[in-house]
Amino acid sequence: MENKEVKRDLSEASQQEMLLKERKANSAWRKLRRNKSAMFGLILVVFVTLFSLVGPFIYRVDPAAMDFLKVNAKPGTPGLPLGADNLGRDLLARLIHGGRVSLIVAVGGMAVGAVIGILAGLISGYAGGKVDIIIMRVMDGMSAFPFTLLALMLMTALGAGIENVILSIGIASVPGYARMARGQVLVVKNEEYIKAVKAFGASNSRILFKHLLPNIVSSLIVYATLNVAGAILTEASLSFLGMGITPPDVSWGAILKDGQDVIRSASHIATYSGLAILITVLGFNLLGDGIRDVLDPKMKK
Amino acid sequence: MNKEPLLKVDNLKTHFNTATGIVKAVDGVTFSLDSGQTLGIVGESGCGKSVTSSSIMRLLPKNGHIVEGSILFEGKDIVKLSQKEMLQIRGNEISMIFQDPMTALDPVYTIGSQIMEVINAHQKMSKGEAREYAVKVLKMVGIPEAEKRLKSYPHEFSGGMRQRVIIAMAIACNPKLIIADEPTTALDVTVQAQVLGLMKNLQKESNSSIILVTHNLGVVWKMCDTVMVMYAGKTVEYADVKMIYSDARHPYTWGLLKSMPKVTDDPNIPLASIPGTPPDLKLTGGSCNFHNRCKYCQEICKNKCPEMKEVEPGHFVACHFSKEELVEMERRGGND
Amino acid sequence: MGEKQDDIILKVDHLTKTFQVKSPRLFEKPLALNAVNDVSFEVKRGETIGVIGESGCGKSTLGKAILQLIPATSGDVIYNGQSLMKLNQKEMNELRKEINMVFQDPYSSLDPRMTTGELIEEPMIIHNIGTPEERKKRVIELLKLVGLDYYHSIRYPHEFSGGQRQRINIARALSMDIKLLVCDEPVSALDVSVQAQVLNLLKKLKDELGLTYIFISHDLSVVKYISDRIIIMYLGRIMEIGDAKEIYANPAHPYTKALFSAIPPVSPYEKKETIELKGEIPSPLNMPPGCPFGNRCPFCTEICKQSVPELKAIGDNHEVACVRYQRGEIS
Repeated sequence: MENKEVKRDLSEASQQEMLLKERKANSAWRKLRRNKSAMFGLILVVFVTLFSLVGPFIYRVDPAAMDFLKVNAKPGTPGLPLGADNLGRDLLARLIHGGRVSLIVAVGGMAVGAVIGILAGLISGYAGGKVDIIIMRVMDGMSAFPFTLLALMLMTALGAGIENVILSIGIASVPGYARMARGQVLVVKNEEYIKAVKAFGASNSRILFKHLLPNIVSSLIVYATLNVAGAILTEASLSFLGMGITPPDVSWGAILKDGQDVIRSASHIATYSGLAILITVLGFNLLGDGIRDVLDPKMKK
Repeated sequence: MNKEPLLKVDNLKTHFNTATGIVKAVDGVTFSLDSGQTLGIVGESGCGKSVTSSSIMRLLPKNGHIVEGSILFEGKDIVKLSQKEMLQIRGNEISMIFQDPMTALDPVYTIGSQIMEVINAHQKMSKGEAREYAVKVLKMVGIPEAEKRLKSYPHEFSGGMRQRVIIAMAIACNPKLIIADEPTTALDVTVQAQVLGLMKNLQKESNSSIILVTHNLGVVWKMCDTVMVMYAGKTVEYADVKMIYSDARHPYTWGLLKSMPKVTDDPNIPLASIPGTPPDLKLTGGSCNFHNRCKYCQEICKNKCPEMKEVEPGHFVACHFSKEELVEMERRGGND
Repeated sequence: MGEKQDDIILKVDHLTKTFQVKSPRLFEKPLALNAVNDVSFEVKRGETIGVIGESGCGKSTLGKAILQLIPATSGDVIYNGQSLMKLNQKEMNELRKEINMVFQDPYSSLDPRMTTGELIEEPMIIHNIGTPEERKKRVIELLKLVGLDYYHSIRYPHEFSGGQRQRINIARALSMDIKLLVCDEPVSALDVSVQAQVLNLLKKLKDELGLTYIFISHDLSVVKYISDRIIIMYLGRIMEIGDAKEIYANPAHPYTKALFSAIPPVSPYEKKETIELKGEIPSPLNMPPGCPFGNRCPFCTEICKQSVPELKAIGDNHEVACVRYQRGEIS
């Protein structure tokens, strides 16, 4: 029923049908579907998500169970589809559980950064003047540090643990969101429909949350998607340096760290964990680019 | 007296491919234009008048194609020319004046360099000669201190002045045909009067033809010799300007004439408006495109697209019914 | 109908709006741009007063300043006897139920993310008018009032034509308890036949609901059609004000005359003489002394350059700000 021919007459019914047909065809989802690389990215993301969330229920193996007889077992060893790590733990199980942690940290970090950053950007862009200057100076200060370094510094201050990793990545992400949101607000706040609704007496909070936010959300979604990709990498880097996820928790970055020491003799540990990171980051990047292509060149009638 | 017309457009159709169907932006446009004459193309947004101009200039976007019809310019069919051959024609034999003077000029180049760009593209002149010529052309369009202003940038001019510069660029190579797409819509009324007056004077001197695309009938009365009325991609009526004014035969033309507020109107009588809105151009073609807004609509109008008929010498109308038949329908109570 | 005395709903009193513009030269004080310069007039209840002028004359700024959407620099606006300049934001917000604006561009004055129903309901939500059910009912009422229908309430702005969007704009403005509407170029972005629809609608609503309009436009024919009285502005000042029919028939001010002569003819038979204005509009940052129209007026003499002409009556309901006309030197 995709391209059903709308009856070619000029009746109100036909025009209404054509309108709905256009609405559907131009809906964000349909446009996204037409973008092959975005779809590929989406598949990767879905795969990784299912792998990590559903995996533990399908592959019921304890990721922490050590077996010194199976240390550095190669993939294909009976009972160990992906082999074992340097303490004899099932690599597949560790990847599945590690994936959970990595994804939760990445998405959680993104969420923390988004909420604080977008709020800051909204207020900064809308209020202008001194408030804008102060908030942006703080953001500028934070962005003077490379992202990973900033997260690292925050981890040092906060200490170990999953919550702190989420917080660190989140706070390090704030300036990016703030700057994006502020830029969009500066454009939208001068649109005529904002002036119109102000003329009707709308309060500032109404304007911010009912009008500005919905109209800037699309570019923020793009940024958030790409931010998740970056967060995965950052978590991996932090864990790799020993500053992120620490035992007994497991993440892909932690696995990668373990694999580094035995990279000659048991390359599969680093390879598979690295591959997991690569696939996820690629997936989110492609998806984010695709969403940007869909939402960006908005056809303004 | 029976010279070949400078431009003869016959059943031009330009369609656009989109995700939801084929948009028949121009779906049957026919008119002709003699040297030294001005044709007005009148219609509302979406009627296809701008696409008609773009088709003549062969400046269509990627998804737009001329699917039928011919455009004979001095006997040669432009539709069949290659893009390379079109480069010879654009700016040189046929030039265009765009609607928005604020954006039609490149803001990072001086107007002098922009005019000379046009000159150098088509004529072999030394730099000095081109400069002199540019000054001459600027003077012709009434820019004061032309020599000095060659070095000015577009943002240093007002809207009316910018439009004059654009006109200067359009006439620089003495084109035989100038297509002016809503050239004064964005201008104040006093500036509009000046610019239109200028165009008329220039035309008298060079004997070039003008196609004036507009939605303002007042401009048509002032400037045009012949008028083509467009609706939903098709020519609905085409005649001498006086005939259109006093003896229009198409219900849409009547509606248009009646709905324009004139200073001579009695404010107590409501303006005659045409109910409804123009149709979606992906749905047209199977009937008269105007039928769902026409108060004289009959069965045949819903099923058959009317052909252009010459109802009197030089007066063409695309309606199933003649004026007498329509008047009779009105007398008998219309069709509501 | 009772007393013959004019019921004044709005009085604009020496209203001035000055913008500070950065001087192009370094370290210089900012320059003053008098967008609206000492404008005074009264609006009678139930009338339509048209404001015409070309770009830069200040008519849009005037509309916004009257509604306190931009703060005036000096002067006052008195609505129903109450000074608007003296109100605080909360009190002014209350009054926004009664005096508001129909915006110019139907393509950008509606939030693209909201449905028509939500857009029309919004002013009522802002002012706490009615219960949600009552509001939904009112939305349908308003849609029908402006010639649309209930099934339009779920559509988004980009799914409508320009004329329809403008109707939504009007419906939205009427959702509150409107008494006075400032219409800022409400039909300029519309096609001719659609303009007619919207103008007819505005007229009908005014009669049915007893509204008062301040109608700002650059289209002289449109303004004449809809206005009872008109104001002609030039560079922030009023040049002429009075009964619409009278002014169109007998324009007094040289600028008004030039303006009207520039209106395109109403038929191909009409041979019109356009009064050519010499020179360019002077920069509002660098106004010469005296009459703002001085440098372009064919009748300008020494006395015109001495001081800014004041509006003086030259007939019943007809005032003009031209010294030479007032002296009878020109007609």
